[in-house]
Amino acid sequence: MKRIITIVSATLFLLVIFTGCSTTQNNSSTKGIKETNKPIKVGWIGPLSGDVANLGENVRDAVKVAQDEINEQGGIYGQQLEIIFEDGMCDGKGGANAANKLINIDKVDVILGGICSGETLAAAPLAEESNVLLFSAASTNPKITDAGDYVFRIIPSDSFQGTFIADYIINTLNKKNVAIIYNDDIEWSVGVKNVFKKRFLELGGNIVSEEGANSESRDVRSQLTKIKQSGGDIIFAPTYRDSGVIILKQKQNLGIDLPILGGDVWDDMTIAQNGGMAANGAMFSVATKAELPTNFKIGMKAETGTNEINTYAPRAYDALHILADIMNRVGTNGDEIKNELYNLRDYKGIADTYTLDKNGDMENASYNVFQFQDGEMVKVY
Amino acid sequence: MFFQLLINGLIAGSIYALIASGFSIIYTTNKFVHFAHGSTATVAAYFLYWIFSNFGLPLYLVFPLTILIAALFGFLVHLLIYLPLKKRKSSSVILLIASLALMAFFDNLMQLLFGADVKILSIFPHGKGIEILGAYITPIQIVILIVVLLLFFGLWAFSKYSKLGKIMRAVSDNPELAKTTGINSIRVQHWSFVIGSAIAGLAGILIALEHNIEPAMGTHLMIQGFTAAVIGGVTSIPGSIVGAYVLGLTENFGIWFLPSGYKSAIAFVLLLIFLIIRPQGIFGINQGNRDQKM
Repeated sequence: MKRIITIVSATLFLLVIFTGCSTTQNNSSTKGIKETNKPIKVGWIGPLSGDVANLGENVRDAVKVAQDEINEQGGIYGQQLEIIFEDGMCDGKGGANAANKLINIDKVDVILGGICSGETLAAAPLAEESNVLLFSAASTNPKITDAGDYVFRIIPSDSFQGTFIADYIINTLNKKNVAIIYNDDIEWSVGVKNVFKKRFLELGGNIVSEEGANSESRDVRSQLTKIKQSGGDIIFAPTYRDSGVIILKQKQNLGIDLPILGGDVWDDMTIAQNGGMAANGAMFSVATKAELPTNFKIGMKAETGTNEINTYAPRAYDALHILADIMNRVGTNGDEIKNELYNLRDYKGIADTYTLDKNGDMENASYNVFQFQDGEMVKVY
Repeated sequence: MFFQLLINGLIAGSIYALIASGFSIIYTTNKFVHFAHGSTATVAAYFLYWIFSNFGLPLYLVFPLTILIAALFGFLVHLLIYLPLKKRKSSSVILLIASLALMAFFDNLMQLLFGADVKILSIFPHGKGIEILGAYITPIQIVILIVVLLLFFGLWAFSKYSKLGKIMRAVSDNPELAKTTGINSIRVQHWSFVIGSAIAGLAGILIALEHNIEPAMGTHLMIQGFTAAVIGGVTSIPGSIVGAYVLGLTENFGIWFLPSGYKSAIAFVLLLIFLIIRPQGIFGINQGNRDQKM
């Protein structure tokens, strides 16, 4: 008997650990709605725990700002908008769990998210099966293009970013030998790396070294030692933020003086703060950013208590406004919204102007390159 | 390249050793897997961060205080969680489950208190390392290497010559027999938690200085520390340190030949080889079937 109890409790416990705890937060702005006037529920998936939790929290707060604005302006047909926030934990398992809960228990018609490409790719088949719309403002993996009819995003695919970086390194920086270090456990990182590699080889460049490092590993010295020996003249490092800080620091420790270029995830001042001198000179590419309106900045400050606004937050804000606009026109049916999204043309948001193609992807994209210089981000291209 | 990889392996091994040795001390006298040992290092690192950024105490006070807090933390965990379970004659499986619960609890508590983002302790500047024979090593890394070397000899001498060390080995060898000779085995287990956790506190400080501070830092290192302890022989304290170096060097030299994505795979293949060929580890003593009754 005791044995059975042990086994059962062990199984239960492991289940709890490995499925993680999802956080559900119902925003206070839906208070005071009468039972007869049910709020319209929209799901949200993004990382709220783990390594990139702060990224998810910032995007969540931007969505809350948009939600408050929409509800203050009368909601959708007079109904309040309610958002159910689920932790996707930045991986496939978490994304699928969150999507399952939102679709089967909360019965939402639309899910905003995920943020990490792994989450979106795992949630996509579930959304597709139940005719639920999946609308991401942050997942850039090229595979999402073909993830399904109900899957949309308002951030350019990494097919654009990988290609842009390859062109930039060859044509602008005039460097032909590149060493790559990437996070082999992250869909986004592998995606950018693959597109980059293909384009870079087409342009006649050489990949002299290609090293994988787990995004949670805090020791990449041996990977960097191999890169140092490889004879490359630039390092391309499409890694997550904290992994990037470790790479920059250990690169400096090992006396490697090569220029280094990361992806849009590095668009984060934390790199400069935590990397210190090691971050000096590091570059990253990011989709062209518009100057953000003051009311959004004020809203974010009120919501987060800081001035932090990451790359994805304004896009997520735009995503909810696009949805609210469409719902006000055609109602909350997933299929109707889907048709409207395919017809989205030149929608002016605060972060970008959006036109979606037949795959539910951004039709085109332009990028800039920034560099960390003495603790500041400076536009260099 | 060889020399740099050797240094990389030694640094990695030293960090694993810091976790493995404390874990091994607790395991030898308690005979259950204290997975929350990694969380002790995490708690110590956050304590260091908190006290350093709020109170501006001098370093010669901050470091010993952190180690003391870690020791106290380990002692309380044993006194309040494990001891009541042991008194109810809980099996080592129950204690293992309790330790997993503690690990999840404290990792999440640290995230709740301090946030999910990485904390950086900028006590010593991080810069270009010192060049030795074409390889680079930073001053903090040299300190880590020396500390672990001292720890290795200290623990070896402790378990061989000191009275408490000898008693610990006696309890480790046969707790029932030790009890009949008048040894208070609970007191010895308390001490092993205090000493093991103090080492985890030291680990927390050094890892905080070398890498950074994040809620899951201890848990990540615990996996490697546990692997190292098994390779070295989990019942041998100096053995766990040797195991840590074997692991660190194998991982880092392994990716000289293999793609670097295999780095953690190398560690687990090594663990499997040891579990199959030499389950008692390099320095462990084969105790036959006696342990299976536990």
